[in-house]
Amino acid sequence: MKKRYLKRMCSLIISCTVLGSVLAGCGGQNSEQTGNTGGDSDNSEEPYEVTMLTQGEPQEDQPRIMEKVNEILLRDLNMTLNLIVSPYGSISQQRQLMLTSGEPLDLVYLDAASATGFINNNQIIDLSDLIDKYGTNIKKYWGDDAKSANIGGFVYGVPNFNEVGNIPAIGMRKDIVEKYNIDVESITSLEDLEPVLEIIKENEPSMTPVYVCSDQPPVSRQLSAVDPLTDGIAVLDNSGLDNTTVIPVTQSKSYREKCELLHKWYEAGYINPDAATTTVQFESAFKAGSAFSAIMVWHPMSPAKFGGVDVVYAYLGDHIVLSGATGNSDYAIAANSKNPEKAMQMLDYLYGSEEVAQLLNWGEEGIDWVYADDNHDLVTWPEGVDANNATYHAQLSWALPNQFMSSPWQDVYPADVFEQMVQFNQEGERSKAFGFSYNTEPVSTELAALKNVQEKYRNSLETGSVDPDEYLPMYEEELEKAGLDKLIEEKQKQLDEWLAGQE
Amino acid sequence: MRAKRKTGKFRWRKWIPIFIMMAPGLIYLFINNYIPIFGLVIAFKKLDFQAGIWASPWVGLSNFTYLFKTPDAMVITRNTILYNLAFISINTCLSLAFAIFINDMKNKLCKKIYQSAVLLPYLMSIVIISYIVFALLSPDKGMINNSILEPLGKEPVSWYMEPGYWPLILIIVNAWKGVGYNCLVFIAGIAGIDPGYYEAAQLDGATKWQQIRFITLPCLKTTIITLTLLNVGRIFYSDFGLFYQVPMNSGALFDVTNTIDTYVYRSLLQLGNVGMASAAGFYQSLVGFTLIMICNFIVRKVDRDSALF
Repeated sequence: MKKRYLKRMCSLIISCTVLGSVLAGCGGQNSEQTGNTGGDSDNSEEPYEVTMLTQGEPQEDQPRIMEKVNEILLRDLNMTLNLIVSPYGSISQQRQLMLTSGEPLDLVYLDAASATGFINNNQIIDLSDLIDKYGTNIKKYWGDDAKSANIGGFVYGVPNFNEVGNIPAIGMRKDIVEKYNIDVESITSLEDLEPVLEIIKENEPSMTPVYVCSDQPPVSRQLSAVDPLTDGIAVLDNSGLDNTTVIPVTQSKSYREKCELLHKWYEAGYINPDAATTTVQFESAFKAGSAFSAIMVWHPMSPAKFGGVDVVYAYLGDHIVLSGATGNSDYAIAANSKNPEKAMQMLDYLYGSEEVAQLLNWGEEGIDWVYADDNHDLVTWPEGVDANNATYHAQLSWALPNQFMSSPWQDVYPADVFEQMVQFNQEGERSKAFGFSYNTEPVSTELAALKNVQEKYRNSLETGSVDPDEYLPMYEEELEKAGLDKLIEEKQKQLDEWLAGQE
Repeated sequence: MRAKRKTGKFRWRKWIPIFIMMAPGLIYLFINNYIPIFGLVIAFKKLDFQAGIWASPWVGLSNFTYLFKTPDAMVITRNTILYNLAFISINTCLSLAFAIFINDMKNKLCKKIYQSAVLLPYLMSIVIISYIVFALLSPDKGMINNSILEPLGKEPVSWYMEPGYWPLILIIVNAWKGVGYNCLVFIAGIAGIDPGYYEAAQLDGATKWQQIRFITLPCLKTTIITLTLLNVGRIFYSDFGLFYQVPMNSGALFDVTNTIDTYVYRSLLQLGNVGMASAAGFYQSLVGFTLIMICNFIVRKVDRDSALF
């Protein structure tokens, strides 16, 4: 009897232990608050905490910096900032999670492509009125373009103050350029580049003359041959500079010309054979020494080094501003924000505050950076601190609402780089559709099928891997079967309405 | 399965520890698999995050139209079904063969080594496998082009641009990856067969092949049918990694590598339309459910013991 009783007790205890340990493992996930709900405020109101999700590398000493930032914010706005920094690889998931789960979130860093989904699901709000009411700094810097990041009138974000449009360029390895005495100034178009590529092909067999990778199809991304009007299927020819007729991308003359040229280069061996499928980025190719040049874009803040190798740029065209130019990095306000008005006030403040931008970008003076010159134009490392042991060197740069409020880093950029950028932004020929983004809802069924066709043909055509004479007709035929006409009709209608409204 | 009725009281006390041990698993199953079933309604709604799932407006069947209206509808359905049929049949045959071979080994150490080796690819991430395939098939640096075709004097093939080879390539890669798992199940099944049968067969002078045909396979029949039925239920699903990563998302191969899962991914990546994506999932699971019920019914008529339920 006793033995049976003992056995039963043991089995009961064990089963309870198992159950208990499983439940214990499940529970207990505390979310950390990295921000300060700071000290005493002289307002009788509770300071509002704005949660901001941005892209960058999380830094060790972020709490220290945020304390300083929140001191300033409490004083000026009676608000504190809870900054969540998410790395490039995981920000889209984190953003999706935070917006879907209803966690407290006010300001969200996003771009036009992701915004479409959020607008459809009603996860971000229209900012037009808020910009009008609270966007003093924003309107000061952007003027009429403050609402240019909109889709069918729904302003999804305030653009970060970065480059507007860019110049298609070829980035070439500086050491090789010097070795063969290549005259960079004389290269002003893709055709001018051919003799150079021939030299490289003959003398450097292990180096690809022009490195192309599949997720940066050059004709769509860098060369700005057409204004993609968001999807790159129904487009404006000639970058939309001189016409407003929506045509299929396959009928665009400039698109065809570029594809034919790239195909010629592919056949001549100037482009890497796996261009249509490889996902190895430019940096890695340059670092490994297997690329001589790559088609890129240029603006005053283009990096001078790629993968550790010095790069010189030759311009391949003019400065063009396409319709989606301000849609690359913007800040939106989440629909589950408790107080969108305060969130907009915070965003506007960040636009205009040098102190906060400097703190967020580089850290505290004396500890994380010091001025490098007497004019206080450049900053650099303080004594004893460098890239290896710095505890705060966020370098958020284009993820900040207005990075021009902070100082450029020595040796990376010249002291007046921000002035150059402002100047650059004012130049540039604009597409007639600049500021227009069409609403995809009426054609979402067709768009699903069209996207599939585009995925099928775009990479092979734009990397030069196939013959455009053969494949462009096939591309066009499949697009038509998938509903291209309806897309063109709808887009043209929306574009005409928008243009009429602009008059 | 009919519950076994005992005469007399049902002794609760005896089973309590068992139920307690089952509880975490059951709770997890309920939360993860049963509660989300109500989310199937999303397929019929236009999801508005502010209003929540219940208050979002109904849109009837319009979320499903993009799956059928596209000219690719036939292609993706055909690809998904045919590939899955090929996978099921080839994987089952191969894993049976391997299981029989491994089981016949005399050396215990070798047996264990082979069992682990055959399972290893199943545990590898599909991304790694896609790069292994890339190392073999890369147009300029791949092993096949450089070390096999060139010495034979043949032209190098641009593998990622020629759709013709890919059904074979994908079947090989899937077999290489998936055989191990089924193999282990079959090894366990074979180990359970009474050795007395084999001895009797040998005494009667049966060859190896006859032994397999008349002893091993019939004893494994139930296991084979169970595994096949389970696979049939997933016939409209595809291994996303296999069809997206391994062909390196190469556009030229879409006609032979586009399945329902990759099609939905490519269409909705930018649109972000949750309703349409849910519609695709609903469609796949509905077809799978119907097929399992039909097949189970047929199997039950033919051989009652082998049916799943």
